[in-house]
Formats: sequence, structure tokens, C-alpha cells
Amino acid sequence: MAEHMDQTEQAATVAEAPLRDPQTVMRLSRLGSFHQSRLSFMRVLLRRLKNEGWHFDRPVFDIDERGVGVATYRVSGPQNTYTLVAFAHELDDSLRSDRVIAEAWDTTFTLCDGEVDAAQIERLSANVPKQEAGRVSDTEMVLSRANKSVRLFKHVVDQLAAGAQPDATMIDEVGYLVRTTAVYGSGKFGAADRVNWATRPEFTGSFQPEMLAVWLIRTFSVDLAEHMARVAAPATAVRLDPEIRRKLGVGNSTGLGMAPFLINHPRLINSWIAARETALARLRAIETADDSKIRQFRLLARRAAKNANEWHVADERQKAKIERLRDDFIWIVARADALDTADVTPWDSFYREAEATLSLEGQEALVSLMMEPYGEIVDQLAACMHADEELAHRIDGRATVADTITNIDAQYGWTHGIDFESDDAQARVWYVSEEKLEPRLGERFEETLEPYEQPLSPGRDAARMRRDLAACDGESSLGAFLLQHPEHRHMARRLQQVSRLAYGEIRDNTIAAEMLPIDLLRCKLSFFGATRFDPRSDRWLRITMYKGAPFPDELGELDPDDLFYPQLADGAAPQ
Amino acid sequence: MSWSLGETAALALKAARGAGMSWGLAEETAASVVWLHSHGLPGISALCSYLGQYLGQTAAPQSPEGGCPIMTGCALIDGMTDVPETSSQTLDLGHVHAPLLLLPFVARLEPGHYWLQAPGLPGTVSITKGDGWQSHCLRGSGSCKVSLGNRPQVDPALETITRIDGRFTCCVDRLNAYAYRTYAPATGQSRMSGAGAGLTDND
Repeated sequence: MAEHMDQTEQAATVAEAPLRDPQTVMRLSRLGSFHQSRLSFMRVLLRRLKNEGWHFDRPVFDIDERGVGVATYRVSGPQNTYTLVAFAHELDDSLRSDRVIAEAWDTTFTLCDGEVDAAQIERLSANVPKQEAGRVSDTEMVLSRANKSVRLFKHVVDQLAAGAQPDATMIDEVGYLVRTTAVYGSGKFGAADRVNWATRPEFTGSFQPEMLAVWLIRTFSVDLAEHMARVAAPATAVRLDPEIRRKLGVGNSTGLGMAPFLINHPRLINSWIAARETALARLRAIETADDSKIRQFRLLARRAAKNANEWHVADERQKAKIERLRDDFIWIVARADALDTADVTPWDSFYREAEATLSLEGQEALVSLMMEPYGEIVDQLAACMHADEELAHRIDGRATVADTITNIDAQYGWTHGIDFESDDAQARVWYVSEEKLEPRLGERFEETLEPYEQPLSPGRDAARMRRDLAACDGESSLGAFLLQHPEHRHMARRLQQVSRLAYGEIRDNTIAAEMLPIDLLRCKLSFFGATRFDPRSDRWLRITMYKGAPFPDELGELDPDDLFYPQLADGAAPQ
Repeated sequence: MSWSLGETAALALKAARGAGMSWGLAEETAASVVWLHSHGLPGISALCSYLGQYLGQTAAPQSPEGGCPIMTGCALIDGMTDVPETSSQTLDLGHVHAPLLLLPFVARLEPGHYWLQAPGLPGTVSITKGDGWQSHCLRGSGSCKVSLGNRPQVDPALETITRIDGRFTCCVDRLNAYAYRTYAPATGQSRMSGAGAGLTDND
């Protein structure tokens, strides 16, 4: 808790109800039910770009009639300029794969620090299309690639070439022209380390360069389609209608590579969840809600319900969750209509009733939704959503063995009911494959993977350390224990680290037979601001980013925060 | 060719693990290497040399042939070793392999005025960008002592150093070979259990 308090100290003048118990929040089933909110990183980015009046232009658009070439997108703010360099390629259908083992893509990108010149584009053209097999430098911040939705891209080009707009149903069904299959930042493949830019105001929070790159990739995807339509039929081609265009996001396929992130970054995850929980605590402390807030909430509840009704997936588990969510929204809308300006602590009552009534999807959708009318007390928390993970957090070796056991029981008491000797409790192994150097999840008792196991099972590791500690003299020191047991050093460090972080540790067994990696992915992606989670199995999913959001050429006129839930049809708004 | 510090940390972590260290010790190793490079000192050269000797052995803080710099450093920063309280005292650590890897542990001892005395290590260390280091500080072992100075042994870096330059290519390659030992060989089963396996992406 101490760390969380440090971070939010400046803004502590806002009243707060008690935070939710980590034991309630940090369960995979709940984390896997999180939704985007005002605190999501793409919304934080667009608010800043709009408020600071950033400028956008496209200095280079050198794409040929086959759709091959390079384009650059420049964004300039009060202090800094960034440039997305986008390469478009010809890709045989047989080579199009979203998997990390792919070696070619329809489009490849890098976000550069500052302006770019011809020499830099030349250097990048020899490396960026190769992605992991190429090298970028410390003037580059993000490396990414995207594949087309072949079906929708072709449809949009054909329609525009014929002077018509694309079919609205098809746009809704697919939701994007391209989907990214990786967005690498922070020092990866030679790119600039986070420390190089972390103090720039525009990158306050988390993943802001990556979010900027994806937003510009979205613009490029539309520019490319419009260009191909003009090439096909210069006389008849039209541009996309802005209303239709806004319904296009950027797709993303995300697999196991992202899953260990939440476990590997306890300080960062704590900062994200603590900000979200603090926002909820502030809402629950509000004495009374005025009429405008209630009206705003009623409208947004209907728009969010519409969003749930338009959310279609094939995955049976998620389909059941969404069906339940739709029912939950019927309750939420009705409860919203019953809100009254005379109610005392209306949002606390609302939340407590929801907790007793709704599914986890519904409860967490409500938490996000309640933040919407209250930007003035929520948005400032985004500035707390960052942390530098320490490579080797200093261990207090003078702690006694007895105290360490007490600490384990406090932090990992949830493991007491788990028999880690049983096959089901340790069925899985997190490991990195030789083939593509990406995290994978294997079956411990079916393959020889244990020698390669990554330290991603804190629950089991805490239980093992406790077992060995219990065999030692309680008054002896942890440092002496670690000299004898260096295999517990990782866990000893983690224990001392997470005991200062209310929301730093997931309180579930991450190697259990029934563990669902997509819960880890969904949690992280909700903080990005992703929508339309579409699980394709228990270990990868597709999402859409920036669906509904303004494009750079309309950011000045539109409120980005008003666009993340679909608009209601005329006459459907509550009175 | 240059590498980011983030990549270097990940490489050092995996290399140390691949050479047989526990994950916790490998984390300390990576932190030591990154500290050295951010102060302009050749951390990966020292690690490269040390892992060649370490491979297949069990780390021990002290041994007649030379102790492990990481285990020795951990004992120091965990508070398991009594460090000098006056400038006239010294702490004898015995023979330690690749003493340069021990330097960041000593430098991080509160209040930041502890000095590592080792063969090849100048009394005060200024930014050398890896030049001029006597080989036995990077390789082999040497008798190491800790004393209390009146200021930090290593000057703060004159500018933020966040890149490992091309001179370290050979070491990076060798560390990659150690890191490779942490990767599980690909099998048909592992390929098919990867995300998105067996599906078409031409939609």
C-alpha cells in the first residue's frame, strides 16, 4: 500500500471510500473481465494530443500502383516531434500469418523520435520489414507490423473505386482494415530504452509511444485503401465517409507472448490497478450526484448496453459471459433510471447492489462506466500509471526466517488450499521456445519442459520456499537461508517487493491445469483501451483498438472520450 | 550495431541462467552488468569471461580457487557480511572471480562510499568506456577487499549511457550462446500449442 500512497499523494484531496480488497480484485476471473475506461492508455493519449493541440501531417506518401512503398506520418507537440514510417509490401496469401513465427507481413512500421530524412528511411527500409530479424537504433521507439483483413480491405477498395461506400454490416463485423501482430517498444530489437523518453510529458503513464504508433497505423490503413481505390479507378474513386471511417479500428492478434507481462511487472501492474481502484473509491465516496451526471450516466449506460449487444464472438465461454453481460446491462440501465439527486452516496449503493447482483463482466463494465461522467476526479490518476521495474529489488537479508514465513502467509495465504504436489496444480510450464524465442505454455507431464521453466508461478514458488524455510531455525536470517538456497532468491525478492504493493500479485495459480491465459491478456489489453475481445482459443485472442476514435484530421473537432461507446440511433436516448 | 540496455539486461539474465545460475542470482547478475555499462564499464566482457569458468559449477561465495562475484556481492548487499565502519578497516573477501562484477554490489552499499580493492581495479574509477582495463579484473580471479572511502569510488557517468556499442559484439554472441540454453527445443507439440496454431489468417 505504501507505494500506492506515494504515487497518489498529490491528489489526495479527493475523498475516497476504502479500496477493494486485493483478494477480490486480483483474481484471474475478475482481471479477465476488465473493460476499457477513461484511464485506458489510448484514451489518455488522445486526450493529451487534443488538449495540447498537436499537429499532424503526412510528409511522404510514396506508394505505387501495386500498393508497395513507404509513407511517413508526422506528429508535433509543444516540445517534440515523432514520425511513423510505414512500409507497405506485397504479400502472398500463403505467407500471411498472425503468428509470431511469421517472417513477412502486409505492412511494417517504426515510430521514430523526431523528423526522418531520406537516409534514415533508407536505413529503416533494410531493417523494419524484417522485424525481429532486423535492427533499429535509439532514434526509433516502436517496431510493429500488421496484416490486412483481406476480405474487408478488398471490399473497401472495390466499393470506394466504384464511387460507393463500404457495407456497414461488413465494417461492423470485421472492424478493421489491418491488424497488428506485434507492437514492440522499450529497447526491443535495438530501439530506444524507455529511460530515454520516459520523462517526456507526452509519455506520462504507460505504453504511450506504442499507442501513438497504433493510432497512426490506423490512419495509414485507411490512406492505403483510399490510394488503391484511386489507382483502380481515378475517375470514380471516392474517399471513405468520416462516420464510416471512424468505425474502423486497428485489429490486433495477441497470444501467449504477452501473457507473462502481468507477472513480470508487479510494480507496474500495481500502479495500473491501484489507479483504477482509486477511481472507483472516489466515485463511491461522492455524496450526491447532480442531475447532469445522472443524465450522462443513463445515456452512457444505454450506449454501453448497445456495445454489448453488438459484441459477437465464436468462443463458447466468452459467448456465455457476453450473454450474461447483456442481462446485466438491463439491470444497470434500470438501476440508472432509478438514480436520484437525493440519493446519498449513490455510486456506492449502485456498486454494492451490482456486486450482489451482476456477473464479473457486468460488475467490471459498471466500474468503467461509472468513471465516465467524472473525468475531473478520474483522469488525473492516469499520471500514476507507471513504474520502473527494478531489475534486482534489494533483498533485506536481515529479516528472520520466522518473519519471512509470516510474510509469506500474509501475501500468499491464498495458496494454502492448493496441493502443489498434485498434477493438476502444476500441470503447466511457462517456457520460451527455441523456435521463436517467445513465451509458451506447455504440459509438464507430457513433455520434457521443466528444465526450461520460467519463474512465472509465484504461488507454487512461495509454497516451496515456505516449506524449506520451515525446516530452518526461525531466528536465523533470510540472507543466511539464501546463501544455502539460492534457488529461492527470486521468490524472496518477489515476496519483499509485493508485500509493499497492494495489487502487485495475481492471487491465482498460474500453472494450474484450468488456468486460462486469455484472462491475463484481457486484463492488459483493457488497460490499453481495447474493445471487442474475441478469444480464438484459451491462449490467444483478437481485439480492436481505437474503434470509434477520431482520426488525426478530426481530433480538433471531436471529443475522443465521447466516442468509445457506440452512438444510439435517433430517438433512443433517455429523456 | 549497438544494443539497448534493456536488451543487454535480458541477455545477461538469460545467459547467467543458461550457465546454471538460479533465476534470483541471474537477476543480480543482470543488474550488475547493467550498472557497469550505465557507468561506462565493460560489464558484459566480465560476465562473458566469468560464465566460461562458472559453467557446470555450483556457485559459492568463497572457494580456494576463487569465489563467485555474484554470490559474494549478494552476501554483501543482503547484510550477511560485516563491512568496515572506519577508513582504517578493510574487509577481506578472499579470491573472487571476475572482480569487476562485484564492483556494483560494493558501490551500492550504503552510504555509497565503499570501495572495492582488486587487482587491475584502479583506486578511483573514471569513465573509460571499456578501454584500459587490466585483463585480470575482467578475467581470472583476484584477491578482493572492501574499504570505506570518503567519496564514491566510481564517478557518476558524465552523460546517460544507454547503449552497448559494436566493440562488444563478440561478447554478445557468446552470451547469446549461453542464453540459448534456456530455450526449449521446438517440437511438433509445442508448435501446435502456440497461440493461433493451425488456423488461417486470410480473413
